Amino acid sequence: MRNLDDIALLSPLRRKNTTLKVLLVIFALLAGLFSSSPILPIFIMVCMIFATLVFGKIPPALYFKLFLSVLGFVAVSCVLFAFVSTGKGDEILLAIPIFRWTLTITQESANYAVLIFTRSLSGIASLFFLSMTTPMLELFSYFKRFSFLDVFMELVMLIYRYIFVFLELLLSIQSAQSMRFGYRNFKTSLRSAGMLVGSLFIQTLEQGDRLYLSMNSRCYDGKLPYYDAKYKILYSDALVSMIFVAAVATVYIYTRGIQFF
Amino acid sequence: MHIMEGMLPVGWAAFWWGLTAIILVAGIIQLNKVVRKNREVLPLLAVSGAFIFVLSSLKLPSVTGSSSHPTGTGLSSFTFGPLITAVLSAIVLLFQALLLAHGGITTLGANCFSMGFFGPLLAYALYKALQKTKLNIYYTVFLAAFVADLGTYVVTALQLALASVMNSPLAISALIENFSGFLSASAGFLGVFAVTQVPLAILEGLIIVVAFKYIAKLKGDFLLKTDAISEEQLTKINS
Repeated sequence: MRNLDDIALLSPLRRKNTTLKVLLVIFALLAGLFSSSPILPIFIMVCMIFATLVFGKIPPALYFKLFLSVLGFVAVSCVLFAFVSTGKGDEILLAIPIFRWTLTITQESANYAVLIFTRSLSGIASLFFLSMTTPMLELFSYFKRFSFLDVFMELVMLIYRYIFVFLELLLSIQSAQSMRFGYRNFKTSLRSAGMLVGSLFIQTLEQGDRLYLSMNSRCYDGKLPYYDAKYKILYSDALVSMIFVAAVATVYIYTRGIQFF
Repeated sequence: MHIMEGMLPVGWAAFWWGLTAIILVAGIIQLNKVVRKNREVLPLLAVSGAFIFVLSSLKLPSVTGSSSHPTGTGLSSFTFGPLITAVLSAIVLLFQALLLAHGGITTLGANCFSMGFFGPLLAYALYKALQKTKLNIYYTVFLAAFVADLGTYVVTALQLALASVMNSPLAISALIENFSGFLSASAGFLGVFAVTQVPLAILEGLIIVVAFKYIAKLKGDFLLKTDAISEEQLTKINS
């Protein structure tokens, strides 16, 4: 797994104000959801991809590889939406008879599926923009201001750290198992996978004990202090953001009624 | 399969977020209480959360290579209860959305309700109920994992079907008007999910049985401490 956080740590956009980036992405996500025409999500997607590749200097090959890996998922769901969300009395575009039933795509359901598809893609592009330009620690330091969430945020930080520890463990156990023909056929695969999950769980318990000891011996009192970097909003950043918001609003107003089918 | 970013209309995203928020607040209150009472639990909770994340990226020996949440959340719900499991799942889903673009932020409420709360709750309730009967412990573990897995996907399918018929949860008249549409949409989603999820649920049930046996053999005292197993069952496994 290529970690998006590594990319974020090296990103030139890292030293931009975190709040501004989060607000822009939330705005983009909601604007995508509120649009009734597929044009606006496509516009947002293009803007986000442009910002990530050009301002964020992410290698396009890597970016599109990551993008394609989730695309299949989205496409399958959207084809499903096209078939199932058919109302009565709509104009039928396509009908496929299968045994006793007929699968139909109507004008309305096709438009709906296209809308969902573009919304999803714009959402993914927006999320990629955020996670490729903002390291997780900086993203979450924001929430530490609320004391109700103290324990919760501690948990978030620790989970984040341990995801990578266990991922490595999982991969090394798995390759050790497959080197010993652990995934040779269905029955051994089942046994190996079960043992993998079991030993991972036991490792988890032991690691939890060790972590508690090591944290306590470093005077852990329920709060992990770390440097919280603050970046100022530059005029140019504010300008670019305002242009983006204004452009989204304009596209929203002028493309409201446009549909593909 | 998670509901991807952008798949739910605004009304539904808000509805599921609201419902999940109530569960999460209750979970965080419980979490604060547990950690205040016994600080030792926090690292354990953290590594369990990481465990759930890592298991979901484990490729199972199946055709689709889909994710295996119930395995992780199931084990966590025996140990910490369904409310805290919901909190852990929310964190895991957040990381999946941000690090892998799997799932999403606006759909996190819906995903957390189905995978983080409903599934583990079902597993927990069924396990506790069957534990008191004479049924073999392995069958109990299998059934709890299997039912929780299916329950999760039934909820996901219904969430998608509802969203495809009603624009928002307030549009109840649209549901009444087009109830047959809702039924056929549910049948469609359930049918497609069934093809991949029923074999996967069986597979996961089997894997968790093997894992459970392994854990009981090596770390039986842990299962005893969390009331996941009785002493006589443990001696039976070890004999």
